Amino acid sequence: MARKQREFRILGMTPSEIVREFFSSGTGKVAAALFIVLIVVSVYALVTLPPNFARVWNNPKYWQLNPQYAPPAWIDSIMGPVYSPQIYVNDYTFTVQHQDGVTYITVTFNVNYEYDKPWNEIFIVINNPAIYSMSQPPVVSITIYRPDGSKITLGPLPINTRVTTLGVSPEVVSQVNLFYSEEYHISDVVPTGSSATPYLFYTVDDGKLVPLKGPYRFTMVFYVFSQNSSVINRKDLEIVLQGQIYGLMGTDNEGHDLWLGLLAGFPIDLAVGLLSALIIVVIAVIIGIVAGFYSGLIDEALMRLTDFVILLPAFPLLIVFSVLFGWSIWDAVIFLAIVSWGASARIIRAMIMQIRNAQYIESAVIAGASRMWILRNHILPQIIPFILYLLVTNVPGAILTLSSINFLGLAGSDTQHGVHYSTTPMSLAH
Amino acid sequence: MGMALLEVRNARLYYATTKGIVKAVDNVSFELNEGETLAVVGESGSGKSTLAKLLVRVWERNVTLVDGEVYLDGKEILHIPEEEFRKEIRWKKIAMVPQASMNALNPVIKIGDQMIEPLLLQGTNKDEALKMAMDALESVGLPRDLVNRYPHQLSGGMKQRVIIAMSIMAHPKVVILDEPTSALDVITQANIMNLLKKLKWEYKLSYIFVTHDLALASELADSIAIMYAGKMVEIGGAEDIYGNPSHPYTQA
Amino acid sequence: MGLARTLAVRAATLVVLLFIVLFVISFALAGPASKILKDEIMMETKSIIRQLMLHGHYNSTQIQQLQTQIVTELENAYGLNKPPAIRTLYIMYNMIVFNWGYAYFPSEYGNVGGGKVVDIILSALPGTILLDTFGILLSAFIGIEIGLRSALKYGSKSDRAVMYYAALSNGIPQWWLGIVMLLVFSFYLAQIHSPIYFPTGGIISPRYYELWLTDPIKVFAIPQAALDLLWHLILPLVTVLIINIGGWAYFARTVVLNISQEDFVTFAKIKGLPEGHVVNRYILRPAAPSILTSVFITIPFIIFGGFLVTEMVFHWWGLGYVYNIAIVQSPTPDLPVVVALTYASTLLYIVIIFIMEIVYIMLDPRLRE
Repeated sequence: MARKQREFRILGMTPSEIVREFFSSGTGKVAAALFIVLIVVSVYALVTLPPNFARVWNNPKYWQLNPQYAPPAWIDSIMGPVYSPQIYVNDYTFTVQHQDGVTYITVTFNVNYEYDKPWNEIFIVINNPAIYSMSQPPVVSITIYRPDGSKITLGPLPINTRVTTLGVSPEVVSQVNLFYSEEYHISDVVPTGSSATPYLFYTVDDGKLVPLKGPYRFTMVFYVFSQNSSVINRKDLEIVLQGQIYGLMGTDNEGHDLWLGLLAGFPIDLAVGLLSALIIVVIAVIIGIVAGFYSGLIDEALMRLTDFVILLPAFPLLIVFSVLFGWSIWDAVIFLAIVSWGASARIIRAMIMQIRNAQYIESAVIAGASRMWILRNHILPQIIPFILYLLVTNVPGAILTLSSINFLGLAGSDTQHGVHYSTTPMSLAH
Repeated sequence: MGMALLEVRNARLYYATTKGIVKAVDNVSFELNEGETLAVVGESGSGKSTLAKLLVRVWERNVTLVDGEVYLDGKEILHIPEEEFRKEIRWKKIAMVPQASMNALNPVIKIGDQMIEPLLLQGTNKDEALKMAMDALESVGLPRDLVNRYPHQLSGGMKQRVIIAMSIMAHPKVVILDEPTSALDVITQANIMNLLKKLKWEYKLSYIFVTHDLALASELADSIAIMYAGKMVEIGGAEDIYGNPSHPYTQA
Repeated sequence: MGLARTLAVRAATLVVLLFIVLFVISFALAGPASKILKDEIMMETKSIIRQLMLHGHYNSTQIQQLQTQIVTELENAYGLNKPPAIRTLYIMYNMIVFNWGYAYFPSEYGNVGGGKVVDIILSALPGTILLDTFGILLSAFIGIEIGLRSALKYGSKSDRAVMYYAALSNGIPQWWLGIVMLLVFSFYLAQIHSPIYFPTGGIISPRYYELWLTDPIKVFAIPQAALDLLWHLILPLVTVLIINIGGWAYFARTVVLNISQEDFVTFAKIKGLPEGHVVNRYILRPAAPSILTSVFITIPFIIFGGFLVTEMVFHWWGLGYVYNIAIVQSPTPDLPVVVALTYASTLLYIVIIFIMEIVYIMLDPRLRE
């Protein structure tokens, strides 16, 4: 007896007994595996994503450099180099010269173009607010040395916002058109309303536009006219080539990185699932134990209540309340949990009734054991595995239900899985 | 001519469990003559019920070995195809009253329908079969209109009688009684024992009576076999065993 | 007598349940949600006024007068001028007598019968019955059959395969699979110019739409129309089947495994009954009541958790799709439709439950007295 007491036990069971009990069932294995994946990804998401990700998600500026409706980046590794990837240019040279009160900053970098579909756009980003309100903003002029020996000169363009979009400036469009009419005698290559950037990477073969593959050299010269010559510095400068493919899962119509969205959904999913499962299990265990333990009127009343809750059409009620009161996802979780404990409570009650009528309980009662003692020593140890099972199986269930609710257009939340699954493939389908 | 009705030679049946191989029936041999009753006595776990299951070839999934020979009327029946055994032997020649006969009746089918099922499958017409069922019920001391009842409307003793009635309906040669009275109160137990004696004379039945109760066994048996740990440790005439036991288990 | 009493108690419980749901909805509508109702009345009034301005010649004071008059009339019609308690009862009464008001459905969804909510719901009912009822029954039938075979081959490779499939299908949302099916069998197949591809949604081609909404029975009389319906039905039905069969199989397998350990099954084998007979009469027949119990506990989850959303994915003109259109209706949700649908589905659900209770009692003799 004394030896047994020394072991660590949760409600009469060693942890290994609980674990063995649970993992022996096939459903338990699947549910537990899902659960573990959910926890691991959630922790990863919480660590890697910024804490205010929901706000970041809704800020279109954060995503403006990304392509829209882009397929995932890995399709190039299947189809060969077809789509240009998103490139953040890091290895550029940065030299500063002063002359006659004007600062010349020369930035050069090389890119190797080996794809069929060129970059959509080139962004020059200056993360220095001082530049946005200068009376005489800096200007940039760009020279592109192409693999066939030709060169295109663009600009000068004023730099007075955080993001300068190269290809949409009318000046650049006309310069690219001019280049094509001089070199290849084709006029107006850039369709009106389109960016000129992709045409930097084309040549003309047999009267048709074809990709010109090979190394490109970019030289950007920034002219800063102010005394404050450090408004453009290495730290604040970003050059981004917007690709046609992006990330692990591609992007949506606003350039959102869907992989990040999915990732951000995991902690919310986990919290939703856990909260719902906890509420269900706590109510079910309390009702089940009370009903199973006290027979007679209390049991009868509780079982009527349980029957009622089981029969209650929770989903339509949820819809009507969500619509009437504008419920959030959390209201919906709590409501669904509060009306979903019926079946579990019934099973727990049945288990307890069975245990209570066993021979050894009778002998314990005769020997003078109190109800609490029997509950702690005989009943709880036997229902603990079931409670664990309920907890783990209810988490994925709650998540699935909530994704359905979300999909129906109820209880909106920005980074919940329903939204993502719903927007991506549907937008492809139409 | 001296040939036994049922002859079991070196029967073995092993189970695989998490704790290893269990030799539930280990090298058991015995003979049973026509009209004779053999009581198989042993404590629980001695393999006596498994022996009963072996004879009707209905065993659990985790069986690893079934071996030996069982002759009925001189014909080997342990290794004939399952379908042949089912059609020719099971119930028609060897019937069995199972241990948990309280739950042996299908709760959602009427007693009468359950009784006549084997007959209907053999092509007997329904009215005739029902009449036979009623006769059988009468011969075990139950009212004829019981055919229209459901099992939950019957007491434990009545259910046991229904099952005995079912077993004699097929006119089998051997009836295996697996603890037929263990779940019943003393008076019902005595009634059932008297019924079994009566039927034995009436239908010239041979019983294999599996029980843990030596006193009860001696009431019905011509010879008694004692089983211990899967082996048949002693076999002999009822008087011999009861009066002059040789194995330590029997002595105890 | 006992049987009648049991049934009466169940019927009473269900009616009480229906009334409580009705009361809760009506109370919510009459009290906290009356502001939404007022907004909707204003909207309705404005649209009527706009119509009047288009067709008649009124000056601004007349319009103003008309507007006040219409608002008052509508408020009276909705009972907004009465205290909340009276209003609750009034709404309840209107619900019960199927006076469900008018919907703001845009006409592109086939506004039959002048937009009466009852008509819209009635027009959506055949679609729901076709996909949901048929889908549930077919998946239950196939699933139970698979589960049974799986249980009889306990531990075999096929048994394990069925179990993994069941676990997997349990974890996939029905609407997600629906989208994938659309993507593959409608979008991609059409892209590669496959001779066989499926529609991107809808219940039937536009030329039969009118007929389906007004007289769905007639559609089955025209072979082309029936085929067209079938062509639209295949993708949603297959989606529903793939997801639901697994659950049924798992459930049936568990029940069969439990029951085959019962003594009466062993005894049936000892009696020499053939295996098919044992399975049908000694395993499936006694299992029927517990299978049914499970059906009616899970049916709301199956319908509301999966089928309604599936209808939406496939733009299948059923109650779920109507629900969705009503919910996402801008600027405010189409309240009369949402409320009426909730009441209608509760009513439908309670009728189904009661039928199942009766079947349950018929199946299990132990409950008959």
